[in-house]
Amino acid sequence: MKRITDADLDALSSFARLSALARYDLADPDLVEELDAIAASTAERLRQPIAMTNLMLDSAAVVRGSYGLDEYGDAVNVPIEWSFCVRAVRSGRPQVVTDMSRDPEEHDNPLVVHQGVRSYAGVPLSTPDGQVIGTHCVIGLEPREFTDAELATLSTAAAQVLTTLERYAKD
Amino acid sequence: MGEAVTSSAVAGVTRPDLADARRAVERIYGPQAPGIWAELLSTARLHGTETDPGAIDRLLDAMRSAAPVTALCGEALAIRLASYDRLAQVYELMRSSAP
Repeated sequence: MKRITDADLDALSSFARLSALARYDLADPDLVEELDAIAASTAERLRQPIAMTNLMLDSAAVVRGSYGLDEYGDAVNVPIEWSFCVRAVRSGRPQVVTDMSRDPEEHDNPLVVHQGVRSYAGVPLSTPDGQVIGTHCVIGLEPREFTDAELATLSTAAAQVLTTLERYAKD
Repeated sequence: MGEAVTSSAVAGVTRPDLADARRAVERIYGPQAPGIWAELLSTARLHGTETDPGAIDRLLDAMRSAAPVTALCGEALAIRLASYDRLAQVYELMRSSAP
């Protein structure tokens, strides 16, 4: 299981980072609809069954806009210990896991053990003032490599997510 | 007051309680945390020492109605609670149906 350190918790609990996240009207159904459309496009372009925008709170990750997750309901929102996106948010860099079942930090993740998740690629969402608030990512049910071109496509979609979020800023 | 609840970790996650919520508020607000915590307890009509299952629900209601950053913290704790309960139930079903 992924180990969450005090340093991780302190970074994720940064008031500035959470304030950056709180700027957006995350409950607006029009925003969710737009983020759903971006996720659907990402899933199609990367030929993956699941794509989503994941927003990282201080101790849990919440999905806002997704493709391929309808059957899971609120179970898509998970504690940070189970979130594949923590690494990308903490590092501020794209992250890829080609085979979760062989990954030392994720092999016993309940989403891997019970839901069959096998591959992951995610890029961080950095706000204009440099706060990393989440990721745009794809998840697969088979082990998979990701090319540089596919990661570039994911980064382009992440930029689109941020542009969309900015249109729903409350200030 | 209801029955006290204790929980062991399920896949590395424990069921959040008032102490966890207080630590989360302290991490976010630092020196301002005591005042914010006191206000949350007052809104939820809690003393902060309750261990019954309804206490965390009342506190999370208060958090999600508070300032935006506190509301996000409350949402995170609510996700942890729901995730814990969901997986604990699955594990209990697996245990009870094991030969």
